Amino acid sequence: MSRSVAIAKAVIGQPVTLVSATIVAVVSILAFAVPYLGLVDPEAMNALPSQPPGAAYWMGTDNFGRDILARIIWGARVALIVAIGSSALSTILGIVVGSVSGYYGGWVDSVLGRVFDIFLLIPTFFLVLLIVNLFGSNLGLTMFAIAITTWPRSARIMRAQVLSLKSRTYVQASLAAGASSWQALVSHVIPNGIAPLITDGAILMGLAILTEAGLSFLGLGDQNSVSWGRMIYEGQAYLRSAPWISIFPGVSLLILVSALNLLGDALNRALNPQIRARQRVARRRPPINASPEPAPVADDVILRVDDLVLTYYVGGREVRAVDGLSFALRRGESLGIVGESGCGKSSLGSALLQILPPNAVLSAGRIRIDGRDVVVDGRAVVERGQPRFQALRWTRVAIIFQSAMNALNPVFTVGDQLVRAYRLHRPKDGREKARQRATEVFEMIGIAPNRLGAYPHQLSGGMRQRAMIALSLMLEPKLLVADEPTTALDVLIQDQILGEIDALRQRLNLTLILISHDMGAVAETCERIAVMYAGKIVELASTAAIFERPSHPYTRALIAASPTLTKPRTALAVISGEAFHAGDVQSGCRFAPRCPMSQDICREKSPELLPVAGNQFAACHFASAVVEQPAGEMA
Amino acid sequence: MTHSSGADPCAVSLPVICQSRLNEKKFGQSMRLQKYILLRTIQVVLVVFVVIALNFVLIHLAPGDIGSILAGETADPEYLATVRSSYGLDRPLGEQLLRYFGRILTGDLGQSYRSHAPVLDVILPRIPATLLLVGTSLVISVAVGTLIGSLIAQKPGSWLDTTVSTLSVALFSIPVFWLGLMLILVFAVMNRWLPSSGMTTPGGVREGWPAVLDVARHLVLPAISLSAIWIGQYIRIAKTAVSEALSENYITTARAIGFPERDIVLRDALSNALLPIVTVFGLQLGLVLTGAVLTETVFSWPGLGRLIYEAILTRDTPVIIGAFILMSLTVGIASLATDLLYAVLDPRIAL
Amino acid sequence: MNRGLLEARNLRMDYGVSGGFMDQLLGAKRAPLRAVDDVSLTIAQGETLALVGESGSGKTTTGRIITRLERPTSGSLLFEGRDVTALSGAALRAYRRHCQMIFQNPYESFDPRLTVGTSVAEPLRLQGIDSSAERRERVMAALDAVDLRPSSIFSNRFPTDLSGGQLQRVSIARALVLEPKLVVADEPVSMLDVSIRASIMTLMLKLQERMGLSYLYITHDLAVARHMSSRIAVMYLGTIVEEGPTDVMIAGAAHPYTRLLVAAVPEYRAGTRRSRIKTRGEAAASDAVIGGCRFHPRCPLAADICREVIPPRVNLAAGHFSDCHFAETVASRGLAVREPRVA
Ligand SMILES: Nc1ncnc2c1ncn2[C@@H]1O[C@H](COP(=O)(O)OP(=O)(O)O)[C@@H](O)[C@H]1O
Ligand code: SF4
Ligand code: SF4
Ligand SMILES: [Mg+2]
Repeated sequence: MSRSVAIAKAVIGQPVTLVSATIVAVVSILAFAVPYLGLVDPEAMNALPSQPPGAAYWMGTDNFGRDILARIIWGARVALIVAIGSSALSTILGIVVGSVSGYYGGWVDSVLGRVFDIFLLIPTFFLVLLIVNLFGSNLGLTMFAIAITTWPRSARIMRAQVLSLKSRTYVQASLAAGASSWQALVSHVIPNGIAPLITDGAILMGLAILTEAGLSFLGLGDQNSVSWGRMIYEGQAYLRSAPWISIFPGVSLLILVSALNLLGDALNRALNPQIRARQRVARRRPPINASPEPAPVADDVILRVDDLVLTYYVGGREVRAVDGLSFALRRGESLGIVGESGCGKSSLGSALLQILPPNAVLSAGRIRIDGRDVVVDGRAVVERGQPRFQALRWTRVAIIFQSAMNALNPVFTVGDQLVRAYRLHRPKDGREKARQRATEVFEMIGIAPNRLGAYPHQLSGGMRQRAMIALSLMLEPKLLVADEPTTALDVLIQDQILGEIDALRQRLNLTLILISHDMGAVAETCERIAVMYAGKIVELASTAAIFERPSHPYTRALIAASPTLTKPRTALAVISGEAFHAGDVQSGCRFAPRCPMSQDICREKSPELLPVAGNQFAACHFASAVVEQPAGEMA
Repeated sequence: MTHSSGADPCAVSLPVICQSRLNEKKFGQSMRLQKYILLRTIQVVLVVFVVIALNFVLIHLAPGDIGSILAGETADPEYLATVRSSYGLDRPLGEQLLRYFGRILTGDLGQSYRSHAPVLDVILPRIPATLLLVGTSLVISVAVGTLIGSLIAQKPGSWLDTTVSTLSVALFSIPVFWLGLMLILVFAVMNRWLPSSGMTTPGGVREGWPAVLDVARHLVLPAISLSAIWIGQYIRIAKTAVSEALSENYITTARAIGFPERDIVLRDALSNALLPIVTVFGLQLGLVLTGAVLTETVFSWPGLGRLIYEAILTRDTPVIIGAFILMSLTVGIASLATDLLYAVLDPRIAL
Repeated sequence: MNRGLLEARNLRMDYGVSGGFMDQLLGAKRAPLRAVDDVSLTIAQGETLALVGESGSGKTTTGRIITRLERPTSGSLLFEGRDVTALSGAALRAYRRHCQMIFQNPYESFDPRLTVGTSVAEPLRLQGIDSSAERRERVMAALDAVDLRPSSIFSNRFPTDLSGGQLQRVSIARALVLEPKLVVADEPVSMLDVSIRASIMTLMLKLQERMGLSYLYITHDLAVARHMSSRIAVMYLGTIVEEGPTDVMIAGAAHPYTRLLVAAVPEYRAGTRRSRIKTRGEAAASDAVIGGCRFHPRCPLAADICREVIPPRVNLAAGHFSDCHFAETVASRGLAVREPRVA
């Protein structure tokens, strides 16, 4: 199964983890084989006392003349017994209590939750100390005492797991199918929730070993067994004369516990893809120095993008999310970019604003803004040591994100964030002026300026989105990119905000790029539409042309497949097949597997974005035939 | 959760355990702060009660005569008799428990059988030394750990990240007492650079700056061993918290606006990352005290930890119990203070 | 109208009435959140009722009550005339044979450890079909019915190997494997790509016809509702504010909220630009306690009476009602106070 594969990969893939796993394995084998190894008796005092490490005694002998190496190996046995015993006890107890608490909720959970909280606050080492002090010291009791103090930790983890899993749809589905809560708990919740506990088990083992060592160091260890902690305890008196007596057991502790912790970490990473995903960083392409170029012609084009390619590095694979994309935009124009999720719309937005995530690079393409190159051959153009785009940020080009997704910093007031942006770009203007501007944009977007003092969470969804728009307008940009600005909002608010964006655009003469998955939303706000599929623009035309004479089979299919309020209620056209995923391999036209019109040539030759009629462009070998078909119908 | 140098509850990238704790704190506008403080205060009181009850239960379960556990095995019969009557050991269990609570709540923690002084009088003078050691170590480890963690969070997956992360795991896998011994070996035995035990030089100056300097010199090694382990922890926590914050959308917004990377990490990311760091801090106070016991033992630092060690050696159970109760109270109050700090840092918590 | 397959009367659902242990200790009670407030609806054999509203309006909770994943705080639920409001144990399990649910998020709908076939077989196993041969046969038939062919190959796949559209088909198969009479579908296409939605909707319609199913189709998208249903009920803050035949609801709604929802659906309209009606504010859970009509803070037609008097239920035609003081006016003239497009 994929999970075990992930674990195996994680263990083998990284040298540190491989070494840790090996150490843990070797120590475990030694620990369990030691009675049969025929080693010297660890208690035998048959050598000279306090001999330094040498050929006969690799780690030297202690003050009684006992072989330290033999004692270290026997000590591993004690360490592992304590580790396994107490962490197993703790985990099992934790799973049972945590599951009950999380699943049944109500007063059971409140009471148990308090118990966990209290244990979290008790300095539990003292509890162990007291137990061992009162009841005498032996290994079994030590294990038990450690488990008593760690089980609430396991239980808390399990409870949190259960809480998040029990509302998972598949548990709900199982209940809806007739399972009792008990059946759902045992067959779906616990098996899926147990992974972090097992991971945590490795860390608990380390914890137990260190606790036992600490106890032994205080003289509360089991007198009848050889423990590393006790060896240090006995050796400290000879620190001056025979330091090796205490060095070796300490090193052993350090190595074994580190290995367990590192292994626990690696397992956790393997089971938690989000952490893994953060790990990769793409190698940045070096910037390019500005070459002398003719003074920019004051033409009508504010933005020109040529053959842009954006590549993500995902676990060693390269994924071209934007794959050779070109378009140009006149001043004051509004362009909608539509396409299904994953077609590369947002990636395009992040390329335009040069805010690529760490695992992405522009691997080719050119971006010109106001007739000046800011990206050439995928590399940022640098002028006088500064990327040229830096000077355009927020003053010429700004972006609006979906505010529901934490696009504003939750710990600063909205006003602070507006003022800060203003002052970054106009440091000489002073705070007062910045504040004035913030008031101005708030009024412009229809929020009472007294809300400037609010934190994002104090604003409703619609207000928060407006605040994001206000932020983007602070420095009077000319080009505004809006990436799904209304997606998570309710229908009525969505409609209003789109209306406001549209009104602002006309009033401030902005150039707008509206990125959305919703054809309808784009149709109402934009003059031109670019339809994207699999990282490419497949059709680019005026809104009317897109809807009335679509010339690409994909555009046509999308329109025919969307239910509306106005079209006659006939059957929807069904697009066969599955959405293309960036990274899929597909020669020729990427829509071919789903296209009702595809021919042999489509699978061989990739169609280019070419004019069909006037200002209408399409990337299809049969565009001129497609455009002739009556709208709303599919081949 | 028992050993300072052990992995903390949040060892693995703030897993569920801390997440759940964080979520609990995001009670937002639904609960007023005053009410929350009240609830948490009740919780601290509850903790102390549970600890007292645990002590009571353990004493009764322990093998041997309760009277001699409390009075000491070698107590003379007369003293034993007074202990018996004052604890009401011939009374029913329920009444004994009540009496026990009553005594402790009035500050009577019994008598150290070693010194025959009231336990409270034995414990209180030891607290400043422990506070000095623990406070210094915490400040160092939080500051250094957060700084290093934030730095490596910017370059996830780089060799620097891998190396520092692995080293930080190694750091908190070191048994703190052994690290202390090794530091003594290197800095006090092999090179006589720093003192290895105590808090002051015997017969040294007792006043003014020279005295402060003397204490500071004695503080160096214990503080290093205690904080080394916690630096490892905070590097990891800060790294996870900062890199989590750096993957949030408001960071993308800040980059789009054009803020320099340094501002973004130190202001936008760290301001959010402080929240989980503070949470973990609150959760780990109990563990830090554990480390303190072992460190004080190694360095003969005259604090509570050392006292407990001495009490263990002499089986001075009343002192152990007293210290346990006081420590629980301290940890409870400190974690309450952390929660207040959290409320100040997070505007989502309504004041 | 003949008796419905399912009748819900005055359903009410309160959440969070009891606080935590500490709260109880302090005598603190959290204000209950009334997610569903006095909802009545009927679903006839073979028909689709669409439940439309903004997020948080109580659609999903209503659906969960009807499938009895939740037990209502008060009100009653009749299935084929039998009271199922308080069933538990074996009787509840028997009810589940007749009433199933399809969930919104296909990616979370399957236990990642189990093959698709095992997941689809689970309802059969739970309902006591012990013969594994029979289970297998029925699973294959169900996968076949949702066009996942060859079914023997699909049944051995793990959820992570399937796309969202395919997973939603498996969800449908799992819901239908027991041959229920009523299926509650909670936004079944909202998480899917536009190009996949039509195929899922079409499949659901085809299966409805073939098996004589009734659907409660929950959605926030009026265009989808129009395509799927014969009747639409509009929810706002926990109550149904208007219900009527689909075409009437789209073209001649009698409640201002429905009118606004219809007007807000973005759509390409040749040549013309639609005018946007300005509304104020946003729905907040706290609005559920305001007096008079709950919609008045946002309603463009709100008058003094709306702030004081709870609007009565106005019956405009058989099967069409609206909870609004001005229902008749709205039905005939719409929102007469249209404002011109902003700026
Ligand atoms: N940070 C990332 N790392 C790796 N792949 C990514 C990342 N962001 C997006 N992708 C992939 O790139 C493709 C395009 O994504 P995106 O630009 O977000 O599309 P859209 O905005 O159209 O939904 C998708 O396949 C997506 O999985
Ligand atoms: S090129 Fe061929 S496969 Fe591609 S869209 Fe055109 S007709 Fe279809
Ligand atoms: S009753 Fe009044 S406020 Fe409510 S919807 Fe009707 S007109 Fe609007
Ligand atoms: Mg996107």
